[in-house]
Amino acid sequence: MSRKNATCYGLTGGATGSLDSILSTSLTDNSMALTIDAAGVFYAHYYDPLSAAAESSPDVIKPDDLGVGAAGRWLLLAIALNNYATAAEIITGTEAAKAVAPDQLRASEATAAEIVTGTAVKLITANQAHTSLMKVSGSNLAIGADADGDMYYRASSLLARLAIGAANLKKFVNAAGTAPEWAAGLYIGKATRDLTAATGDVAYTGVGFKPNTVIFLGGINEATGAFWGFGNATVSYGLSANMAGTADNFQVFDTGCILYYIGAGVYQAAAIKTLDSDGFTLTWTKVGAPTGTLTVYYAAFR
Amino acid sequence: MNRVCLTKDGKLIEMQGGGNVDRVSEDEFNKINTDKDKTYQNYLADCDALEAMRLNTLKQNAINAGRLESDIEVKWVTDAEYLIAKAEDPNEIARIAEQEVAKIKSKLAELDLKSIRSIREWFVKQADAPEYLVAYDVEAKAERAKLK
Repeated sequence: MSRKNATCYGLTGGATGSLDSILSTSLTDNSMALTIDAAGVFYAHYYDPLSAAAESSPDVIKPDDLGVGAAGRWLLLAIALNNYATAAEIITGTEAAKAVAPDQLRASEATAAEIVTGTAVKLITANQAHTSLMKVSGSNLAIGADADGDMYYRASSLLARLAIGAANLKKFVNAAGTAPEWAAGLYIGKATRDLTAATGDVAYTGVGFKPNTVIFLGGINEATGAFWGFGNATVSYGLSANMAGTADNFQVFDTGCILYYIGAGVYQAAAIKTLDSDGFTLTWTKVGAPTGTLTVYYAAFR
Repeated sequence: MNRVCLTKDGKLIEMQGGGNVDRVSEDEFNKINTDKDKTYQNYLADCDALEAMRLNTLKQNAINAGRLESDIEVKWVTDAEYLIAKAEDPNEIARIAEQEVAKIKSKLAELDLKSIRSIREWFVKQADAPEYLVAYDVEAKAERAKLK
């Protein structure tokens, strides 16, 4: 008489009590077997007399008494109820044959602190990230008195805020080269030069930044001389009127930015020596015995 | 504002425009300040120090040019005060006087040149006018005709 059900303590191996040791002749379609193996894992199989699937434990098990090619297989009915994935397997997501229980998922979630430090390999849930990370929209970002138009940049491994500047300011890298800042980047100034003063360096300050280029022009009221020039740290070009004391004669030069003639062999000239943090330094050269006070106008560009 | 360096007797050595700092209000400072360690009082002190440094530039320039610190003074002046200082500067007074003299000399030179032509034209009308002068006048008329 055919048996309908069986209980076993192993799946394969052919030993008495194992699933594959049950004689196929004692089985009918949908016979059922319950197995608890040596590891305590529980399985449920049903018998399909027509199946000739390749044996693959625990999914497909062939009774040992069947010959090669003969039909009749134990087929796994359900995933073993206590074969749960571990927390590590849940995180890596590589184990497809194991079950997952809700409390396992909960136990493997990262805490808010772990999310911030980013050191633990764990699951996260949307609400955890919400409390500790910047939203995609950035709406929860606040560094001081944040306002529309502010910009953010990296500073000492942190996110820093650059408050919006006044209208029409431009963005520059600060003097230290470490952060952005807003500035006009343009300064218009004036100065005088006593033409009787001897050759030497003269510093000009008040610009408010280290200029890149400076444009000069100037002269003396009601006198025939005048000059126009510009330069940077390496090159300078200029134009001077009253060349060698001859009215209406002009001289172009590339040795400095300022050349003011009083007469033939009588003049003061200046070239940019350095571009400084708050202005620039000119090297003045006196030739002959010029007199008067020269007015110099300049525009400095950052 | 402007910065000026003067000798003790009022001679203007150098002027540099600007250099004063437009201080923002405390409210504005608090809006733009991102340094939590910097207070408004720190900011005001920095502004004072920057202005002092800029004023000192002119003193240092004068010292570098060989002047004694005891012989000079530096100070902040408005545009109007600068114009007064410039007008009182002995160098400027001398320059203006020289300029006036130069203008007069230039005018005299212009009058002298105009007179030469008038004198020549008067001479050639005289019966005993020198022949070379008559020849110069003819030549001058021919050149002048080319301008028409």
